[in-house]
Amino acid sequence: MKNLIIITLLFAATSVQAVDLDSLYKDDVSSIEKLCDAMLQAFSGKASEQKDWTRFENLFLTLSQQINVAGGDEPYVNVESMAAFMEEEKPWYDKTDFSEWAIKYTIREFGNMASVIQTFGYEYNTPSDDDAAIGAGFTAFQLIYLEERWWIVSLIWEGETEKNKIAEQYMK
Amino acid sequence: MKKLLIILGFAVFAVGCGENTTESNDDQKSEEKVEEAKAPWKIEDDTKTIESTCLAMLEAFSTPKGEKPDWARLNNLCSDSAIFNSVYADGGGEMHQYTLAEYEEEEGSWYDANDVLEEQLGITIDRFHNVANVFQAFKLTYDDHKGEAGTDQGVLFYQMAFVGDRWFITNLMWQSETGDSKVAEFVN
Repeated sequence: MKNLIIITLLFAATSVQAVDLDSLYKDDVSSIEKLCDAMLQAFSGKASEQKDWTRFENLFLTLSQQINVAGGDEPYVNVESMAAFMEEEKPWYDKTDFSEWAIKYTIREFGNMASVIQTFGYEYNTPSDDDAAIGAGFTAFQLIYLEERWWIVSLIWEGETEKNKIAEQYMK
Repeated sequence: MKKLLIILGFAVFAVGCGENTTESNDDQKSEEKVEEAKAPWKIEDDTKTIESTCLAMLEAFSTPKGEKPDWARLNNLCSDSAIFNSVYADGGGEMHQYTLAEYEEEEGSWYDANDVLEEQLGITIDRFHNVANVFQAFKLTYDDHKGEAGTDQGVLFYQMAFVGDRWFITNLMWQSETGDSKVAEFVN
């Protein structure tokens, strides 16, 4: 009986949290552009401000991956689950003035799926490391509409470099 | 007559030699191209371009009843962490996620029991440097020779990365046509 109560309470607590998240971030997941904007907004902010990692997490399916192609002309791929990404990157974002914004969206929808190209700009300053930069990048998202909301299934991105510029069609 | 032909043949050969060497180099190159075209298919060819990688995906699944899809070829197209996401429109929507090995385990027997032909109807590519996002319209024809046969059309979304000297599929997601979503606008 005790076990049953614990399980019931645990289920109730989980449900309450789910309901809270759904209502708190309802607007984020109501459209494709809002979903992709919310990802950028969630970890934008001053170093002194707490970044909203709960909001960030709420955008993704549990098995979502983020894939970064880095290395310029000697490319390598870094694949991480969202949980691993947050664990690894949170300390850096939390000590950094960080701002990221969408430049242009190219969206294709089919059935419950959407394929999105988002070009973005970013600016950061990490005073403790004396490190700052400004730049742009290209992200491709795969999204799905389930349970009356949009989810990020997967994303792959690469930053622009002096040598490799993003084509104008994705920027204007 | 035979002698005349030999003389004419020699004359043509001599004129050819007298001209600049570019033409003979061009001839050699075109012969090499013919040889290349005749060369047997190699698994490395699959991943040379975005288009060849996506076509290889469909080809590897296209086999007659009793034959397995070419799982080794499929494995070569994908990164180790690639996820296959199968989307259904049923109810509010449904999605099944697999690794390639899980997909083989779950769905392999269906391919073995059917003539399967997967064809590309159209492809749209967005690319920046080493990253690509692909939208491929496909047609599936199947027949189990026991009364279950048909066709299906849909769209595959690919995310891809160019690493080393080849393309990899890093994520794949697909859905069949529904009453509201038709592939027609993506056929090219």
